[in-house]
Amino acid sequence: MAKVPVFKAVNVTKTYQLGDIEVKALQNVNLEIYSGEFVCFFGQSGCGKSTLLSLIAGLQKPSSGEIFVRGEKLSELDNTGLAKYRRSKIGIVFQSFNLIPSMNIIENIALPLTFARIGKKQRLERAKSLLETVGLTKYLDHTSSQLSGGQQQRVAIARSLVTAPWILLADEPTGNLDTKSANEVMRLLISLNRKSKRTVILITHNPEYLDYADRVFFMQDGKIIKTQVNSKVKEVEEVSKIEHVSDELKEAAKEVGAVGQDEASADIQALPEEPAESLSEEKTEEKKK
Amino acid sequence: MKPIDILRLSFGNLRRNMLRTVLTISGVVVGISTIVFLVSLGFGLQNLAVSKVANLDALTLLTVNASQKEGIALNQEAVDKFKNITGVIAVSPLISFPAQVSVPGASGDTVAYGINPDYFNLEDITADYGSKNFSGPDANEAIVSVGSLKAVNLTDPSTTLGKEVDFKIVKVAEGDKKVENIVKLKIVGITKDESTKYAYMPINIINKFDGKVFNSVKLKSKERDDMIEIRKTVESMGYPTTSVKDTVDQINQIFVVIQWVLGGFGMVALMVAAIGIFNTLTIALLERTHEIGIMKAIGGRNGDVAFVFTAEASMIGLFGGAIGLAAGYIMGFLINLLINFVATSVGGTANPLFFTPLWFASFVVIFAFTISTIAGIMPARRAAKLDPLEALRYE
Repeated sequence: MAKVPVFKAVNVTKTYQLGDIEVKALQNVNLEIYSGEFVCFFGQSGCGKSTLLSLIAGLQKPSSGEIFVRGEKLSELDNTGLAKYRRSKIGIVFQSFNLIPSMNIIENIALPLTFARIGKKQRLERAKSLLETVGLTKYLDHTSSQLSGGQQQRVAIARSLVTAPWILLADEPTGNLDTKSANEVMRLLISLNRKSKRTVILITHNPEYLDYADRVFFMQDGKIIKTQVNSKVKEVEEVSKIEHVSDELKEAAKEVGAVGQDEASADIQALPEEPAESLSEEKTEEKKK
Repeated sequence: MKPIDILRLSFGNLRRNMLRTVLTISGVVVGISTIVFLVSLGFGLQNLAVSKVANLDALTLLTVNASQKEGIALNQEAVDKFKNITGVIAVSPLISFPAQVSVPGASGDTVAYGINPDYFNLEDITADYGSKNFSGPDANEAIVSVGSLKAVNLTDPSTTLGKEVDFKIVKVAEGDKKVENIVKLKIVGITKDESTKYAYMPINIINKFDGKVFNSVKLKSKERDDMIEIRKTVESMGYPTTSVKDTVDQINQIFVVIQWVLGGFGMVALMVAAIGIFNTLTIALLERTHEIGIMKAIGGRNGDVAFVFTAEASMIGLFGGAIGLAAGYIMGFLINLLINFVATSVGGTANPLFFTPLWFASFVVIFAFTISTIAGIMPARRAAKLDPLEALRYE
């Protein structure tokens, strides 16, 4: 029996209008992601991976093409439907954590449940159990500003999981973190995928993390230029027709113009993954062309 | 989002920028307290004016006058009909004729009023000396004003009371023919009224020689509110009526205008406060744009965002309204205290100058709430319509 992909993009194109210039952030993207997969989108700033994430998250709509989530068209949802989709079907982890500073940690985690009209007692219980999962129980009544970056990101992961979503979207989750915190966060994401079989979509430009992924989509100039399955991790039957060449992952990374790990870190420092900036980069790239 | 969570979130947002919230609320407080202070003054003065014109009892009274129309006579038959109207507890006819008071050697003009003993309970007429009422409906007695006794030199109550005096009652019959009847009545009560001349006597005495058509009939109702229906019924029977209420209504009408003018001043202040709320929320919207983006990204509906903003405006209005009401009330109370202190110390009487009806107090709070909510709607809608992705990028 053919499995229905949890996420499927068909000929997805996204163009932005920046003044007179039309920027193609995504061009004819076709892909399928299956339940329980750990998928990486890898590419440089401005390659369109953040745009793709925002489309997956239902934060914007594609200019053309169709996105299916468990077989349902995302384009058929209205604003309220999209809000519900973001609340219950996906959990998003941002590079900049995006916790609400006026709320304490537990309220932040419980916020999606608040939107879902879950009672206070029930949602706080759920939030507490997730806080335990990310190992921050004792910080429950702290505000986000009282926590370190790594701790904040773990809270954000707890928040993204609070509604038990189908897909966990992580957009450069370690981009603002030191190596130690970054490793903690990555270990957390991996264990969520391995232990609870949660579908994880990781967007990164750090080739270090590609080893953890079941599959990697390499992106450049708004296109998926290469898809590789990491045979080291596990086999994914649905995509078995794609070449299994895990050792080639890093080579592939070099091919698409990614830099080495140290340089990548420097890159992170210099260029926080700011979608607005990615846009302006795309713009300049367009101009060069 | 559940309403309770919307309130929690809104309240938390208001607490976050305490100084700004307090300042915005102060704007509403200034507006509302001004309205409460001025309009309460209007109500107070109105009550004062009305109470000087009529006591509360006077408002349960209706005077039915003789109709000019043919076939509608104000006679005993009509009086009996009036008695059967629901809400009427007393009916007292009145008949009046020009008359003369005479003692041997002197006489003076007066007006003779034939009434039932009930009448004294209905009208606010009290004898200052002697008896306050007749001993019975057929008693040969009169209650007279000092004014009518001047001409016959009987102004000293101590000697006049109990005296029997001749009353010549003049009836103008058809063809201007005057018919005079003389009755001997004992003066049992005297009023201090020097300027008007009148003599009250039992109606039965006059009825003996008259065609039993009354000049007017007084009706009394149990409740003031019954009077409206009673009046309608009587007027539908064809009789014109007058009531102290007519005067009171006129006074009230004038005061409605005065209250609107006074309230208008406060309204200006409240409008300024509403603009303040609008301004505060617009700034809050800019400050919280990123946060709105987060909320939308993790599943907040547009409606949730709008409600949180609107609830903030509503809360500002509610707090401002309640505090403004208290402030306006206390202000009026203190000013009243001061004025009455000054008034009594120069020999005047203390009067309540401020009055805040409960309905007005509740209205003002609801009004503040409504105006604030309206002021919050536009920023709230803008917040709701923010594109989640752009809001997320906004720093």
